[in-house]
Amino acid sequence: MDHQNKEGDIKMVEKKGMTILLHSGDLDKAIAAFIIATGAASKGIPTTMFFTFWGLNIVKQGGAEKAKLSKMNMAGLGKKMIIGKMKKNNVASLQELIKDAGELGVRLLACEMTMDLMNVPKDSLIPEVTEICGVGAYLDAALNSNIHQVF
Amino acid sequence: MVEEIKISTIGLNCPKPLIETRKALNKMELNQILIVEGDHRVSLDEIPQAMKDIGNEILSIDDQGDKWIIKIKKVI
Repeated sequence: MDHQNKEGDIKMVEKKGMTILLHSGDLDKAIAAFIIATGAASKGIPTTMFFTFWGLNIVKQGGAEKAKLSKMNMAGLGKKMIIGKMKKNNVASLQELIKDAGELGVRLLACEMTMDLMNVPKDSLIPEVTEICGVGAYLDAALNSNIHQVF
Repeated sequence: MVEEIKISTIGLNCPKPLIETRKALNKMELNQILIVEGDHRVSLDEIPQAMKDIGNEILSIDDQGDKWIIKIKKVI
């Protein structure tokens, strides 16, 4: 396709990095965030994710399993339906995408302030979390990036 | 050293074929060849584009309609 050449040339010059700020603990938003993160990492874009407030729940052990849909969760019925559909269409689960992100070297930053606020001890986080830090570390990553996403 | 490594992404949906390609390349040594087989249509564009971004060499793209085979040489 014609656009691929143009995109490729631009990226070679501008490719710097991507940051994703996950503030939401919603399953659908977390899946979107991790699909973009793993896709970017696969394309060689250095990727950093910062988990704050409800987003921190996603990187707590068992958190990915417990996350609810932002819409039409219907006491878990909607979630069950979506997960069933994802399986049928061979779309990776959130748990699988988190594992992939770890394997691809995506930096997963847990917000230290949120951990304090919500009484989340370090050992209750999943092993894919690479750092526990403040807003400064996230901003350092953001300064070195040219793609920023908030979920 | 095995010169060619083969992976199948048959049945996988976006962005898994690309992720599996990248994970396989990360484990390989320079100048080895990765043969990726798949049937996800969008990935037939996405994988060659990603390889271009990374700087790996596409040796061939064989689109057989119901499935495709992409050959990649790891140079970076």
